[in-house]
Amino acid sequence: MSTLNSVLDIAKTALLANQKAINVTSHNISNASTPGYTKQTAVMTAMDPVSYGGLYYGSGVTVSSIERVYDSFQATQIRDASAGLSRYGAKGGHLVAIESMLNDMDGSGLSSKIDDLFNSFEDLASSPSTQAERSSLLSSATVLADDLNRISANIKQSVSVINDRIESSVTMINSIGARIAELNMQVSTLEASGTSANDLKDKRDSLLKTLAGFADISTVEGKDGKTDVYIGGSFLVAGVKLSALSIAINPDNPEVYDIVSNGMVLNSRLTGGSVKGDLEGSAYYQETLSKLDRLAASIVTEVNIVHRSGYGLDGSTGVDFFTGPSLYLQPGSRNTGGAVVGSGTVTDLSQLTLDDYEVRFSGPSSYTVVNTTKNSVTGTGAYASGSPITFDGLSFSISDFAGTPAAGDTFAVSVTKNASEYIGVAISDTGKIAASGSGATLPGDNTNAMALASLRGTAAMNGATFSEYYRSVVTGVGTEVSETKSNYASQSRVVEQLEQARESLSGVSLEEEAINLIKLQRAYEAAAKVMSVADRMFETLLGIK
Amino acid sequence: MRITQNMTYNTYINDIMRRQEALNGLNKQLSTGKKVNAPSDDAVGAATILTSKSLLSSLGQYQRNIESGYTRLSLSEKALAGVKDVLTSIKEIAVLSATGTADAASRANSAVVVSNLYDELVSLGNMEIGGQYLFSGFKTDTPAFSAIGAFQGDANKQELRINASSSISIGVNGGDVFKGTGGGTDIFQTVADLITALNSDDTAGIEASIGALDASFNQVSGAVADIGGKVKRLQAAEETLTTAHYEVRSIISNLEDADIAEVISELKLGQIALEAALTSAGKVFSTNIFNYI
Repeated sequence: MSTLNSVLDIAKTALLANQKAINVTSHNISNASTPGYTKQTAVMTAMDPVSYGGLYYGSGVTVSSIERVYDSFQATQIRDASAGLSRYGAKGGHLVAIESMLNDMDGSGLSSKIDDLFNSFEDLASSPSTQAERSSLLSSATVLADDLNRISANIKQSVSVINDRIESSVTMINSIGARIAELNMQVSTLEASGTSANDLKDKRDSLLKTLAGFADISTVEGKDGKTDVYIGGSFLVAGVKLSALSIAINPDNPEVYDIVSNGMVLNSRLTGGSVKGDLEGSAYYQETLSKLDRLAASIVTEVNIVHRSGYGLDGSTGVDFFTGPSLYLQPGSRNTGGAVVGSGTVTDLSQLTLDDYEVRFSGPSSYTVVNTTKNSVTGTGAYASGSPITFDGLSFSISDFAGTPAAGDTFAVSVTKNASEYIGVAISDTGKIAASGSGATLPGDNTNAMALASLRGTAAMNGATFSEYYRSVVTGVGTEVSETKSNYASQSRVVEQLEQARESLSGVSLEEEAINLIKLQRAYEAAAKVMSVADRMFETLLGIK
Repeated sequence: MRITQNMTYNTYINDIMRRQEALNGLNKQLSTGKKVNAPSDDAVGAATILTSKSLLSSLGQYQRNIESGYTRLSLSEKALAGVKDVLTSIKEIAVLSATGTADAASRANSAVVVSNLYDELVSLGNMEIGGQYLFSGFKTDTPAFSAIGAFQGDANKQELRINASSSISIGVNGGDVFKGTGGGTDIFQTVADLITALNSDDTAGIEASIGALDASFNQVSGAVADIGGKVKRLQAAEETLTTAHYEVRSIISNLEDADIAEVISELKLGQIALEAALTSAGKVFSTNIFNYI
């Protein structure tokens, strides 16, 4: 009905709508630099016309909805890319730490200490009976052993620091998951009542992005506004329900943490996120440690073999130069029988292989010894509690304790495990250093010292000398670091570009908002003008006498 | 493309960060003088650098071995030169005593002089270095000769490694040189015989010992020549080592050392680019629509 009142009503809708729109603009401007904020727009629509006297009259304007300018595909891409970025970031951090722990470029690393040991053996050969050369040999050997001890301790320390990180990451993932579940609830409640929950969704997106920094996630949007979150194919958030991750110690390697979700170990299923980077870093640390253990065990074995065959100034022979190697014996974590391992010894250095073995029981009375490094059977035997099991220069015993061994029980055997932690110099009396090759006390005899010195060039480690083997470890780390660095650099470009694309679509442009502001202000002024015109028309009408 | 303020800011932040990171790397190269500061800077080069450094360390050791060989050989040479002098003096006395002008009394006097020289020979044979007897073979803690000229050492000679694959014996064995072990002249016996002949006024005996003294002298000369040969070998080995040392050093330097001129010019370039970015950022950031409405 076209009345003056309806003109006032229409002007009123315009005032209200423009005011609402200015409200949205002002919200945009205030959040121009809020991370994760998505630009909102007030959607204005003309109100339904009313028919009167055969004519349709417009009835003004309304803000029908406030929408986010948002592309969910972009959000997914950014999450995936940042999961990759934080994986390389975390991994790179750990690798750089290993690299600097081993860094030999400044000449103070392990490689120069290995050289020093063999130089000292040469000095001993030049002057086999003088105290100075003998003491200096003991000190270079001690420095080498100390360095291996230190690196081993540092690596173990770093692995436990990484495990702490993983633990706190899992706590964070769970708490973020809980907040997402909560937001799912709020969003679905709000949207059910017909309101759009833009800012809550932004908040949820931010949380999802933070979550992707920890682990690569996939999401499924439900119709009711809820977002389900999956990590490694196992759900973390289903609607409003959280299925929290937990941590368990890996049964095969107590230094590794397993991340468990709904009864499933996720470690190998993760492909991104800082947790993945942490797991990779930890694995690399342990791989490096096992290589250093091999190196230490090999140095101990080779030097001791030669040293034992020589004679000291005091006529002593058969003396170990380095302590060990010692035997590592560990019952399998899944053993069901009641047998335990006793202590073991290396009985013949020359037969040592530095391989890892496993004693596997096929029943309570028979076992097979498997070389797990070469994946071959070393031998079989009949089990008798406490009687020695011997092979490849090793001897140890397994005995009944709470019961007999059960079929399927295993016992790990290794001479390399922890070798870099335990290596030390066995001799303190310089007179026991075996420079001489003959039993008569000949102080000028340097033949054994020469033999010790020539170990420098002996390819004792699968065709490599000690130095060559160690260098391959160092340069292996270097290659891995530079690879990770370049992955990180290219991934960060990808993230930057995706962020820019998102910003281009969903970001707040102050120019745009300023122009909108003026436009809306003018519209508001015009609507007010319409009101004052209508008002004057009323006055005119009422003024008729 | 729609450009927002955040995009502009982010672009500048990322670009400026990257430029500063590059400058930081260049500065590190300048301050350390090295372009490979960690294996990851150049993994392939790092392998060569580490191998070369390890090689350098062993080359240094071989040079030290050679030094100690020189010391030993030159001391042995000095002792043997002394022996030659003593033998020459003894021979002079023997020749004089063999002539008709010498009588029993002068020969007895000469015998006293020769027996002093005999002691001198024993002390030369017991030359030591750092408490170790040079001519005792492996029994370096035992004097090579007793006061009566009996050899107390053994027949071994010490060897020294002069490069990765070969070694050289740097010992001179007292048994060989002084006692003629294995078919030579026993110098102490020769001199003792002379003393006996002088004391018993035995002209024939004195004459006989002159020949034996010549043989002794030649035996020692031969040993000195042998030492000379060994010194030559050490010198050759040392030259090879010095050359190798220099070559390995230059390999390391090529791979590891930063080209300062290049780094500085890159640094300048980087600084200019950074300044340009900052200037441009300043201009862009000061432009704002709110200044115009």
